[in-house]
Amino acid sequence: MNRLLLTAAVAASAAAMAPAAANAAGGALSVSPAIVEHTAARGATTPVTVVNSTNAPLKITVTPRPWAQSRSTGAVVPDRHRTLLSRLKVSARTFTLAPGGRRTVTVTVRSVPKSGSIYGAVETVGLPTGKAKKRGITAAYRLIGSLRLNPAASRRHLTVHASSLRRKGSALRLPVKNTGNTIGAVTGDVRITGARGTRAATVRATSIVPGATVDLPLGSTTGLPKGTYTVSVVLVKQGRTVLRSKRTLRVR
Amino acid sequence: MRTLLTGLAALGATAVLAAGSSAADAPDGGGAQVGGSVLSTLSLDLTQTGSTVRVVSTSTEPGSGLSVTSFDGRSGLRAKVGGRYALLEPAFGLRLVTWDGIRSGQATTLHLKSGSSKPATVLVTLSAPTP
Repeated sequence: MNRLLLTAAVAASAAAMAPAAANAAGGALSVSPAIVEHTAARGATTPVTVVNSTNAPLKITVTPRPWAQSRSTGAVVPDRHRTLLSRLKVSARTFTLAPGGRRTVTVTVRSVPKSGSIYGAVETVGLPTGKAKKRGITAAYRLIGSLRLNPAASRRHLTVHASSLRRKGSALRLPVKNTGNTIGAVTGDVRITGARGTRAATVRATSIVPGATVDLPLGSTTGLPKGTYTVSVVLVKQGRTVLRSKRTLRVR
Repeated sequence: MRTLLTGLAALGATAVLAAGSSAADAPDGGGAQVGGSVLSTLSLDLTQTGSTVRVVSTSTEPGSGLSVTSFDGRSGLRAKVGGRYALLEPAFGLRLVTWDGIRSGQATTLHLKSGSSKPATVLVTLSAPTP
């Protein structure tokens, strides 16, 4: 089925569902768009609409944040200790949204870094207003949109840098740093070659944030006889080969 | 599922047109096809009863996910959606589920637990695919 049609269906059902849910209980907080993607350019603007269809006012905070990426798992989350406010202006960062209320804020690119790209999250937090609970846990809303301000095609760099192999137990990993300025996923092939033959594996598609390093899993040494092996890795990003590396592995 | 989506699509048509989206394409051969540009959306519905939170998520983006994190980075908070409670990691929170496809009204029951009697706020997070 046409993905566009499915998208329309889900968007419409979200809108239709919200009032009923709000009546039954808490109700929904919504943002759109969920993903903003275009070429990074100073002065470019993006409207982000926040809708409170709950039956209570919410204190809304909209903050652009850079990504933080886990080196070991590759997980990507907004860095809650930092913002992108020096690069991106948000027309209204904090406001109270009444039940049924809607507000559109504008995200404007103040400046583009030398790298030519900006990637990050548009974090929308909705906190209940009124007296805070004296005990217990309060659940609040957070919606994370993805901001992908890509470099111009002529300034696109797909480079990566690999360090020495890492072993943790039998797991074999290759630290790879994104030294380029795009977030396209890297994928690839691994061949572990020894005197008795070759073991092949694939590198799971992983998006690495520019400047971040992720230890890409290359497979396991389990079952490999003692000896010296050559680990050959070929990484591909956005259709281009970005790394060919050979490393020596000793199994004892 | 396909039937449900078809039904939702019929519902969606009105909203799409009302939103002033771009015109539908008429495919070769005549039959009208509903389509157009629709903004991607994230929608989160929370209903809390004590330490249990019913979460209903809607996302137009495949690869979206649900997680929970501490509002102020405090430690000692735990959560589960099934199985055992797991700690909320201060920087990365706790990833609960990731969905391959788009989701409409996906219900999840979340249980929260704190190691102290002090009040705490957790952010139930619906995220578009990252990065």
